[in-house]
Amino acid sequence: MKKSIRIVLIILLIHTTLMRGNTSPPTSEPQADFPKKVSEILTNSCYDCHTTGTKAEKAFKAMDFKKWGEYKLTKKISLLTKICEVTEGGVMPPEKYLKQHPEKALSASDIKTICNWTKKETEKLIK
Amino acid sequence: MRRVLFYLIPVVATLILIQFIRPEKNLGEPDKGTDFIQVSQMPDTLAGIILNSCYDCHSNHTRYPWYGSVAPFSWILNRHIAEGKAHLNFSSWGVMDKAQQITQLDQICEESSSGSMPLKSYLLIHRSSRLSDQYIRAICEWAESESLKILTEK
Repeated sequence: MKKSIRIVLIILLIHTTLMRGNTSPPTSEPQADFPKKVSEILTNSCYDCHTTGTKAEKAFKAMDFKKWGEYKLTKKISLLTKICEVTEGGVMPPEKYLKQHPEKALSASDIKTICNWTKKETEKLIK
Repeated sequence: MRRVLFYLIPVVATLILIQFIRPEKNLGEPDKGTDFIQVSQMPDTLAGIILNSCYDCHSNHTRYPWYGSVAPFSWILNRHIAEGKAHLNFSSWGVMDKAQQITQLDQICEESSSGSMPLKSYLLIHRSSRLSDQYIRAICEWAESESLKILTEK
């Protein structure tokens, strides 16, 4: 199972590299090479709204994980900062959403994982 | 008459009493080399726009209206300023790290483009602070180039 996910991710990665500028609709999987643990957390708690095609238009217009690769460097830095800020501050996921989907709540260790990643990633981008 | 007084006196008394609760004014010392406009070196026109539309709540220097000392208005102003500064304080721009500055520049463009900022309640009174489409474009273009500059500088 793990292996197949990895293969899918690799295929996606190659696909996005080759298909840059292609206007075909995005595939159903998020097109970003986040660390596995981070990816799991984001998929569970954020992707329901923050990916194109969901009903939460406002959410994915503000940040769309499916379009992560298309964002400019400065936008990525801004979004990374925000990701840590809103999860740490308990603003995201929204309370309303969590009431219906309590299993989507972020644990303290999830938040730590996210913020460690956003900080590391930001440093990488700024260097 | 008695009936009117019966209601009026407590109201007036309350209005007088609440005047004693005075939030501290947002009138900080001049910023020593950390102010956004000074540090960033933007065109004067843009500096004027940002000063006029954002600085009342997003800096240590509020231009208070006449009712700024009158409760309960002073409380409302105080809350808006405190919230504004918590999100972004232009007076301490110089002490933010690169990531924070880049994030803020992106947010400045986002917030003004979406019409979230300046606050509607603020614009009701400060009509000249409304950002025209042209102003917003100027803000966003400059913010983008500035953030690229921050990104590439040592």
